[in-house]
Amino acid sequence: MEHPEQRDAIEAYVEGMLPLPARQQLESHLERCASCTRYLDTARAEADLLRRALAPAAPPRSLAAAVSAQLPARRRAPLRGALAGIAANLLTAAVLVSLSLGAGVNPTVTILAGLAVAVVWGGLKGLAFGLAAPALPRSVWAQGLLFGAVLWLAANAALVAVGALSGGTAYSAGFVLAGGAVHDVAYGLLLSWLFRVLRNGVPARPGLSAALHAVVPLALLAVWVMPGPVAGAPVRLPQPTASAEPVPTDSATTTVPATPTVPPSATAAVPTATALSTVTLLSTPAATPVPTAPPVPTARAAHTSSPLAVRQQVHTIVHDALAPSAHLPARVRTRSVVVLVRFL
Amino acid sequence: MYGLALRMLRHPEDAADAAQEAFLHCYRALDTYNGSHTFGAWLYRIAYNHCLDVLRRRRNAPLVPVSAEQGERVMEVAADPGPSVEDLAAKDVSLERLREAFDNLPDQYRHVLVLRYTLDLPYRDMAHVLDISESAVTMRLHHARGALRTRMIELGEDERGAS
Repeated sequence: MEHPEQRDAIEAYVEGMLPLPARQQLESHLERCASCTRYLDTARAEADLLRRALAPAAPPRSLAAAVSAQLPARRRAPLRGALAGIAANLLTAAVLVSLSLGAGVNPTVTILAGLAVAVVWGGLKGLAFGLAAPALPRSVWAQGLLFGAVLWLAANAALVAVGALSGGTAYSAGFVLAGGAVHDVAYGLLLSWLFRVLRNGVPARPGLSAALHAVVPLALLAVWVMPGPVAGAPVRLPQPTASAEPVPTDSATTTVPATPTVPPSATAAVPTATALSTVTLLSTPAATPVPTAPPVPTARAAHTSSPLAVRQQVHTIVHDALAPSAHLPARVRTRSVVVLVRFL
Repeated sequence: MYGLALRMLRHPEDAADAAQEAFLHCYRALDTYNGSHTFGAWLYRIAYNHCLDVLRRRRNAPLVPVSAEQGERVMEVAADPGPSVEDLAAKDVSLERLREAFDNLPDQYRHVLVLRYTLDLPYRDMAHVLDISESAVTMRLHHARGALRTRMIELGEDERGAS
């Protein structure tokens, strides 16, 4: 070989590992040097011979079965997602239902409604998570935050769309930014962690990370259900006895029945009478916050099992359990639309 | 992974067991994969380290290092490789002799040849599996080919001497 200094470059060239500039330089040299070209042919033949001699052997047929037999039984991702979603919704519903029980609603109806919503709605959201799992980041935190963000965006987009279709209502920037974000993030984190636990099992030594996976979402939920500037208080739906019919409005203002906002920790009963409040709707997203009637403490009402009262309670609980971002502005016109949208 | 284990351990049953255990180890450690290397490189590194453990348990000794004499001979061949492996194969050397020469190489050279010619891994992935730099991979591969040529020459001389 006339140019032994080219040997390494030629061998790397044969292996396909030579960078482009060096490759171009070598090819230019090979056009002029027969000796190096012969070495190149030899090196290629040698590499081919080595590949033939060291070709991988086919594994025994029993190897795949032996590996599969030792893998832990796993549920498919969509089913696992649905189970995780139900569990996550049960946890969030437990918080809401327990607080609602304290507000004087029918406990049986409350619990049953919470369970039904958790199974159906939680299962659907978890199913969506399970289907999307392969495309999500591997980190539990990233999965939870991303899915929570998607839930929040989808829910608010749906509400805005329905509101727009039903007469041009719009939500304040405050609601869009804050409404439900805390709950949806908490839900997403819970769902992601439960999904991972269902796949891998509870870690034998949980450690700080596993503890945080469980504690942080519940802490976020606690923040959300507490009345305050961050999360606000869930808005009770208008009662059927009030004039709940949609009021035709112009583009500027509308009047809708609104119930007083009742902090979940309050001991006041579900209001049995509503007070009309005039709410001014604004057509721009950057609207100023809408003034609502201040909380009106009412006398505690006895539990009642009349059909109307039960229906009221079911609607209220379904709305609260379904709607992570239950901070609905009073400008939403009809209760049924709200429940339907949040159910979707 | 079975191919890697077979070339490293040179025993089909041991290779099947090692491949099975490496697969399960990979499954349990899936959460540790962070994407800094290709998934194949990550898998093969686990399998490679597992096979090294088997070899250590089997021999109760570290990897067979390249002896000084072998190293000197390799450097002589590297300076003037003489007949290439392909030339030897063209004359009278069968693939079996090539494999025999391969089996007689030191572990470090066999492993790097397996990673390149059995698994067809790029140099970057080989560096991750072997936990060395890419330049070290290039150098080790170069020496491994030279050692293989040397060994084949020796085998040819032994056969001619025997005949």
